[in-house]
Amino acid sequence: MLSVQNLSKTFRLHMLGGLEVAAVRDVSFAVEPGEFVGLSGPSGAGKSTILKMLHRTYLASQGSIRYASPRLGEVDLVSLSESDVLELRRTEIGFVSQFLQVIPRVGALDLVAEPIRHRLGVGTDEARERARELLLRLRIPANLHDAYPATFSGGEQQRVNIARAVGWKPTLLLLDEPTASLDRVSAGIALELLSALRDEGTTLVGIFHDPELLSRTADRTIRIGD
Amino acid sequence: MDPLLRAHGLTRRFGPGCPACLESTGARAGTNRCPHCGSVWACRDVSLELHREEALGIVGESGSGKSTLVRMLHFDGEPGSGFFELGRIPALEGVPDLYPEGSPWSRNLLSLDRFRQRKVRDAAMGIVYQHPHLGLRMGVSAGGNIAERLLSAGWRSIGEMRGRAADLLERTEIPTERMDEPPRNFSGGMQQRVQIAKALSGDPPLLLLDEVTTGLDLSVQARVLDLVRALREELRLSMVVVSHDLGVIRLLCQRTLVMKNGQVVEAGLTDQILQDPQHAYTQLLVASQLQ
Amino acid sequence: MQALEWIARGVPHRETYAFLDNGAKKDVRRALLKAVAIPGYQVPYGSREMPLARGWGTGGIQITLSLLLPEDRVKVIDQGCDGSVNAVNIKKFYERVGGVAVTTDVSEATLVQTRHRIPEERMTDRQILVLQVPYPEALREVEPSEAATRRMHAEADYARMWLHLYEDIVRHGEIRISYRYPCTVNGRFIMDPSPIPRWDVPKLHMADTLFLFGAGRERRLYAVPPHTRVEPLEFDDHRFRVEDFSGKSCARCGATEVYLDEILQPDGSSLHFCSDTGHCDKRMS
Repeated sequence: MLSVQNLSKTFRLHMLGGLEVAAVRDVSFAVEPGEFVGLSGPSGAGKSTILKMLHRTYLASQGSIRYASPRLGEVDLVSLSESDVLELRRTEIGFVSQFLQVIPRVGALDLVAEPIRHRLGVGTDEARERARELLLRLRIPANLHDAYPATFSGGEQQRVNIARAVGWKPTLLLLDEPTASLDRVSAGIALELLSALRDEGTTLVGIFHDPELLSRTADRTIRIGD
Repeated sequence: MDPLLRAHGLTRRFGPGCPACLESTGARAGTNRCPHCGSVWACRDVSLELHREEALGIVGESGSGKSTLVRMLHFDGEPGSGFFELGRIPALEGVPDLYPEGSPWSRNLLSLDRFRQRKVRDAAMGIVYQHPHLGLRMGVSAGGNIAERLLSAGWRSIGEMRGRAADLLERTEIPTERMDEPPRNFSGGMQQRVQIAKALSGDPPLLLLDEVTTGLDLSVQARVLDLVRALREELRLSMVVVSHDLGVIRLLCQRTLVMKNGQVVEAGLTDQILQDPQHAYTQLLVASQLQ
Repeated sequence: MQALEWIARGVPHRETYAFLDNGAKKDVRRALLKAVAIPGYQVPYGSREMPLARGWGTGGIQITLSLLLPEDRVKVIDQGCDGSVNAVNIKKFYERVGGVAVTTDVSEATLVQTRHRIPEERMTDRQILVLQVPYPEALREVEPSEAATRRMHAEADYARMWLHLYEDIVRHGEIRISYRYPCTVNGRFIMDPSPIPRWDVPKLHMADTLFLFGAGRERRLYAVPPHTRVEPLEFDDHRFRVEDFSGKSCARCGATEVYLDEILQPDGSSLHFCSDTGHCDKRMS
């Protein structure tokens, strides 16, 4: 599914006189389809940076990321055209960050239902129903479903975030500390959802702050930065 | 993705120009205005591409040329130079000799006569300006403002036009009882929504938004942005969104151009521009946001 | 084509006939040819000094003088009346400078000059009607700038005019324009038919006669050639309507299908009379 080869990223900070910061140095690894792979390593090793390069939020300085897209075939995410990247993000590749991107005047339920509706081509009512189930599963009570997530606690926001990412069953899901702001129980539920997703065929690559959590869910761990 | 619009070399200059203009103006020089001849290069050699149902952001500060650019696309004011072509749009099939035989792209719209430019503009585009009095006739009723586009396109039934106007007012959350009132009686947010209704009256595939929420109260801004998002989805619009507010760009646009002193300094996916800016100016802009 | 023949008809070169010098006549006739070639389009021309003030028909007079031949028989009316001071003075002027005969009978006239009415009797393909125009620009109501209105005509950008009518209907339930009703000529230009009442507008459409419009103060000429479409601006659900004289008739000759003037009587009642006095006279005889 994914083959990362000699991936490097150097940031050039113009505001500091062009200071260069090497965030990722010559990383290579592979991920099989349907695997749940964890990235581990010390803080500052570049795990988050790698994830963002997989999502093409960051531009890679060197190397390649070969991805087997069901839609586009074998592509290199590093050099892929912008419109193709957008196409993949729309149809195959998802990203869960630590922070929920809030959209003004859109309630929690609609936030979760939106990608289900568009990307799975499901009708509005059906999408909302699935969204409702997901939110309830993640212990967001029904009376909050139409509330605006901007007013939620960090943990609640994050659970909405996870529901939104999971609902449309991406081919590849990238996770950047998705459970960082969750309590043990919620984190556990989230991981169950993610495992279920993996069982249905999604490939997952994630960073988890808790090594115990990581070993419990991931099929394999890749060490970055030693 | 299906390309809808492509443009390159878009340039708009005020003043005579001189041999020193090239090095004396632009992003690196830090100014639009040539110190030797006084010419202002509002927009210089800009290229862009828009796909169907995509939203492209254009971000920059005052003097960046972003508004000039979008007004050029709308054929406002004196024509600039460059190439601007649209892909095949059903609504444009009626414009005489617009598409060369069998070509998926139109002729260069900037070189067309004004008559055909107006036909293209009325059929393919809607625009919303920052200041409602640029886009609306304040002394004419809200319904009349919406009807003007229809009248230009040849609609000749009052009943049908009012029906369409009522429909658009409803969609933009304006009480239809106010259709016959002039917009000068409306609040700022409502005036913007009338502009949106007017822009959409001809059912254009392309919507141009020029700083549409700048100056509005926060809650009003949220309402307008939400409306734009919803309409984009419902009507499957392609959009060009000009703003100096990175938050608006992030919310609405998948791709973004960054402009400075009339030139494009960086172009890319919106999240990449905001999280991994490459150009010095983009880094400065991103670092300057309040968040 | 006959209209062009008329305008092109020659005049002895060595003499100044009918007040205007030959240079002036050429200017006017060339402008008229252009006007006929582009129906409804306002052609600029060098408006000459006339022995009456601007705003009193100098444009119409220049057209008539440029076309006049000694064998013409000329009728001049003002608001439909042959006997008004202006009409009488202009006729005397033509008699003196052109040696032409004058008449009040439309069917006898070769050329009719008018202010603000078109004769009730249908004119033929052997006649010319010259209309005096105070304000040639139909779009002035919605756009004060001359540069802007010229652009609007050039680009056939008439939405603002249509919008004006839309607003009238929305505010008052109907289009309230009573004279100078805007019309589309030959499907292209919007024209001001001069301050004729609505009643007369349909007479311009697909007529046998050549209509020439002269605005001396504004220095414009325009024309509606025979068999040209002249369509008043209207909507599918708000059609153009002429004045309603149902139940009324001329107190003098009893005519009903004519444009009537309402004359208030000392006792407060009103009587109606034919606006077209020549037509009324004919009916009486």
